[in-house]
Amino acid sequence: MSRIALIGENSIGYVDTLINIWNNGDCAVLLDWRIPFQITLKMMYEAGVKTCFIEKDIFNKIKESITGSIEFITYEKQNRTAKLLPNYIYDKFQSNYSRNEAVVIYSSGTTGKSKGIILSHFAINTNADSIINYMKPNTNDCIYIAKSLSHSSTFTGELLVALKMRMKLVIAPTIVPPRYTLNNIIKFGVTIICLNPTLLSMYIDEYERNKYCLSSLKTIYVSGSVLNDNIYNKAHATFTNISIYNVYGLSEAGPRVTAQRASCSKSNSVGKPINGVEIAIVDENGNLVATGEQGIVHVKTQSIFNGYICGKVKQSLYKDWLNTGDIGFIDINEELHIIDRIDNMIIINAHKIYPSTVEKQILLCGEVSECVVVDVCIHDKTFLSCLYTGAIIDERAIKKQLSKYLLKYEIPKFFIHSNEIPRTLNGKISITDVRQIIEKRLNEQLNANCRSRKKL
Amino acid sequence: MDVREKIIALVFDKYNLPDYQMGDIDEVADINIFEDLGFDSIQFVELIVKIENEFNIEFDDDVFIMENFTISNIVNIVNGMFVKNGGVDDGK
Repeated sequence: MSRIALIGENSIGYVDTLINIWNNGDCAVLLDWRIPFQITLKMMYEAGVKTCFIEKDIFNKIKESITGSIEFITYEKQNRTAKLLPNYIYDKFQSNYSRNEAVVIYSSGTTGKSKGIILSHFAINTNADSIINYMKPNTNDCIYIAKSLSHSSTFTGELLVALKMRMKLVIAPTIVPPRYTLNNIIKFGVTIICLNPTLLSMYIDEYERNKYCLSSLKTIYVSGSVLNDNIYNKAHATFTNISIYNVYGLSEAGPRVTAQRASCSKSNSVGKPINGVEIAIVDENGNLVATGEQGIVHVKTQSIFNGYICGKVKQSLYKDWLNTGDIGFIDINEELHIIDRIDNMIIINAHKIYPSTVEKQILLCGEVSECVVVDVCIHDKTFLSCLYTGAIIDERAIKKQLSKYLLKYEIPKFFIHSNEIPRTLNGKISITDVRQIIEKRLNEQLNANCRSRKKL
Repeated sequence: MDVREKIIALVFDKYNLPDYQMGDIDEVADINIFEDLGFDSIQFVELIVKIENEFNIEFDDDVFIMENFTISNIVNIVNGMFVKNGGVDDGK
């Protein structure tokens, strides 16, 4: 078995090459083509890649900067616009339940360095089977891939599901305006689409502008990050005849862990564990917490990863239980709710603060479109601060309003307005950049105050 | 502000950094949206929507399936659309 890198935009050629890699008994290292090439090279060397299949157009752009011994083999995209996956691809695909390596996925690196996560054929195929079990698709269904195939949720939850079920699948470029996707939903009679909250929000705006007839679309699955209540409510109000289900997972778990389905309550939960998955919520000492109590989400799954490329094998595993690093709780309907990342938990003066709880209340207060709450250090003192977008708020008024719902230490000391919330390469909020923006602006304000005092 | 300045302002709003001011326009023209600024596909789609709203235009669906995602390329595409539509409308 060799690890073979694959770099390209979503296309029929990409899927064809991926299946060829598997059919040759090799493991595909899926690398996002938008990552700067020098970083991609490092990832390939770290993973021991000796051969890389790369889309011809991308190769032509980067060929001058290639150094080292990796052999690059180009392939043609086969489609530049949205196309149905042709039959010969389905015929080539074989379900495989071996424990051999199938893919290496690179995580988003929200909390640090991007990690190469190794998944076996058994992991991704059993996970896809469990997804089919709750999705219950049929051969008349048509799924549209709107996100990059280098993400685990896309190739397991959409591509593998479609290949196994011989469902129609639309492969399209990902860098297109929202109306391109909405028009193709109509053109191809798409019944299922999987989105993240940002895409869902953009599609809602575009739908409200131009009122598309999305009569074929039956289900939208939302994953990638916690869907905030605003978008959740707006989505349900906009797409009244479409079922919208939250799903949850992480690459290390295959990736899918839980999913909402028709039988679930109408809350903004991430649903119940899928087949082959158990969930436990534990406190910091490893003790199980009661229903409704918050704790660290642990997962036991048949689709567990083989390890990380960097060698810190299964550091986050304890007796087969994977520590997800997420804070959540299970409600009385046995549905999981994700509150925040444990890495995001802020401790100030021994008080534990979950930023998402604070952000939720700020969003309910009025004109704020998006906000991020972080701890910042100014002159050796740590303060809870908020970076927000939307209309400029009256700080005193919002603090008064928040005091009705939050504890005193949960109310941010500073509110900084911004035109945009900075994000990482995979679209997740970059906490480091948020902190830097706030600290820079606060220091500027402090310096300006000092200067005006001196003048006086 | 002309088309180029407006597009640069929309791109750099993402960062809210004062380091890139209008005086640096010639320096930023060759900056690649993905490789140099770390945009991902979803952020780029957001930028496309912002540009369309700013200039009241609609890009052709396949216009961004291009080889080079530099700022100057995007500016050329927008300017090309104004020429095609028979005049400059910078959204003012």
